[in-house]
Amino acid sequence: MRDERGNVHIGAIYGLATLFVALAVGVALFGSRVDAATATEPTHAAHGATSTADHAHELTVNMPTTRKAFLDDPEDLVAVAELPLIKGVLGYAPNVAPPVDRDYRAHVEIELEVTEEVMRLADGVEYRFWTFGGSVPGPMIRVRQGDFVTFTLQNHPSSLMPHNIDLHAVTGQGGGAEATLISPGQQATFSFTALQAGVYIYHCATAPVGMHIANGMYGLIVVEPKEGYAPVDKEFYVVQGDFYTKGNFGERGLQDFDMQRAIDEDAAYVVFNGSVGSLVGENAIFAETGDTVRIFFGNGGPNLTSSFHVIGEIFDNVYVEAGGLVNHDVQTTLVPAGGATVVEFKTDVPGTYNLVDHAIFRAFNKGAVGQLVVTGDHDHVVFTERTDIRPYVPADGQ
Amino acid sequence: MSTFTDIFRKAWRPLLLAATCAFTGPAAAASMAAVDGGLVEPLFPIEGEGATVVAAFRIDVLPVTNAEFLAFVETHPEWQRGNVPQVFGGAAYLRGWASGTDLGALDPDAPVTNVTWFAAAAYCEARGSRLPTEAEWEFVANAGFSSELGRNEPGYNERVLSLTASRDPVPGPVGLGAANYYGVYDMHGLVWEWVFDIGASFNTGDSRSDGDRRLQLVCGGGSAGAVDKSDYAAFLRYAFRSGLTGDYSSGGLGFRCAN
Repeated sequence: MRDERGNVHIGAIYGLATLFVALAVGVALFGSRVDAATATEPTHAAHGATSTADHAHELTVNMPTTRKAFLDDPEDLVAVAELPLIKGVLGYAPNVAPPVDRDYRAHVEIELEVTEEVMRLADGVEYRFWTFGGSVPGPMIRVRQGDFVTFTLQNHPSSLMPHNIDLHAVTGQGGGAEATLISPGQQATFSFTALQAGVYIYHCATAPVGMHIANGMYGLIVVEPKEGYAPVDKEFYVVQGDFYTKGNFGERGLQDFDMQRAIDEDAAYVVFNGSVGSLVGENAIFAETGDTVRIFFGNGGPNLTSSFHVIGEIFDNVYVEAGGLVNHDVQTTLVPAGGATVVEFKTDVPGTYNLVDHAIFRAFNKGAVGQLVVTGDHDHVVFTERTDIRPYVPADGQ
Repeated sequence: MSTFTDIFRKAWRPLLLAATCAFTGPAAAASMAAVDGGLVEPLFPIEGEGATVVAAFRIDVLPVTNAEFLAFVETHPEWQRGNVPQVFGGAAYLRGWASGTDLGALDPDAPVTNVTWFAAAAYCEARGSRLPTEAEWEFVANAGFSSELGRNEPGYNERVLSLTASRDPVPGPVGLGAANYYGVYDMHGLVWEWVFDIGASFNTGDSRSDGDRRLQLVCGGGSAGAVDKSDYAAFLRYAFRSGLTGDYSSGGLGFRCAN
């Protein structure tokens, strides 16, 4: 390790540091959940040794080390029977369910009703939606990591189809799918502990699953980390979905589901919150300059991956795939079908900001557009608006 | 392994013979179609298990109507609402009727709904017939509008899916749609229908596979093992049946008889 003059070779220092970092990251990634919380310490010890270690430190900041796992805390050992009983409050898009305002576990009761109803898909276009809670997306469910959730699914007697629910936040058979399979006029109940924080899709999982999802049966369940999400000024709830109708985009009347089109992944509509224009004009969402904004964004699919982008903004924070990894300074983020993300940004300049799927023909030809209208004072350093316009004559005069 | 159909046929043979001799009951005039029978492929085939053999049988051309069921309960008061024990009538038996013998605002020509499996089976028995087996019902349902096998007709799967998924939650009169190859009406566009052996496709006697089959209908696995992945109407039917118990009833579930 030392050369003939007794100096430690710089490569050896890098090598050692890299080894430390690799070990620390390895423990953090592959160690047990309980070990992961303590694994930050060797990483911090390595910090400062070399610039390589600095890099590793950045990595750990972005890793879910600030999040505590279930069973990390004494509160996690409280028996379910001793938890306070709370009735869950649902949030109908674009409104979120109220943030969790407690620092202890609870036994949360959730009731969700399944209905089948004809609703507007676009102007002059109706569709026979299958819904959770009478809306597309279904209402947002919001609990705290470690909560014991007793979930009741009700299938309205006027339904034609059996339905159920698969909550991606559930660890267990089918995410609750088999436990909740119910015929019209029945209800079923099961319970689960929200083991892991994150934002999760829920959807119907009754055969043919694709058809149930294509008809609008999806929504988000937010499992807040124990310490909660940081407070922001505005929170919104947006879910993208693709629809497959017999008629092409805009063709009027009650449109039937088109199975072949769904199999071919040839969407007639790609929309936010269940219909064209659900977030446009008088339905737009609003903020003021200087507001911090958080959007819980899900993608129900059934087929298409979203390239979620807000035109004229940059996401300060993106919770990658809605998990514990937070990325910064992001323009467009991928949201898989059956997945979600959380984006946060501060509004600096007034204006209308379009939410789009940046697979851009979906926005301009299939409906995937929403609007965030920001009002307030102009900041002419951040953005001047147009200061000049005149004819342009190239130097060669042509 | 003897199939359920075999056992079933043996069990019912004496009754069928009797029925041909003494066909009595409120709907003795019910029109039935003769079906030669054949093979019904399971929706989720399992290795070593072949198609179900369906012997020749007859099936009602139309679902049983409100008027027909009213005539039945008039002669069988034990099946009137209020007289039926909860265990056979369930929670919603004949919901919508004004009284035990009054249809109220219901269309007499619409299919009777809100009937349990027990009530449907009793009706058919009183008529000297029985509920069709799942295999028999599916055999007729798989027929096209102009040929023996619907899936060979262009657009058939789409048409049946549309009939199944886009129907009115409150069924209208029977017999208004197109008859199928056997002259049978309303197999797809009006109501779900009880079969004798509900959930038969999930009870193979091989307990290792029962659960898996059911899970294919209620979980993401979806059509993993299905023969015809584009027959979405069949998935809807099997999924519906998979959730049924004998005391269930709803406004979208009726029946017809066979023998």
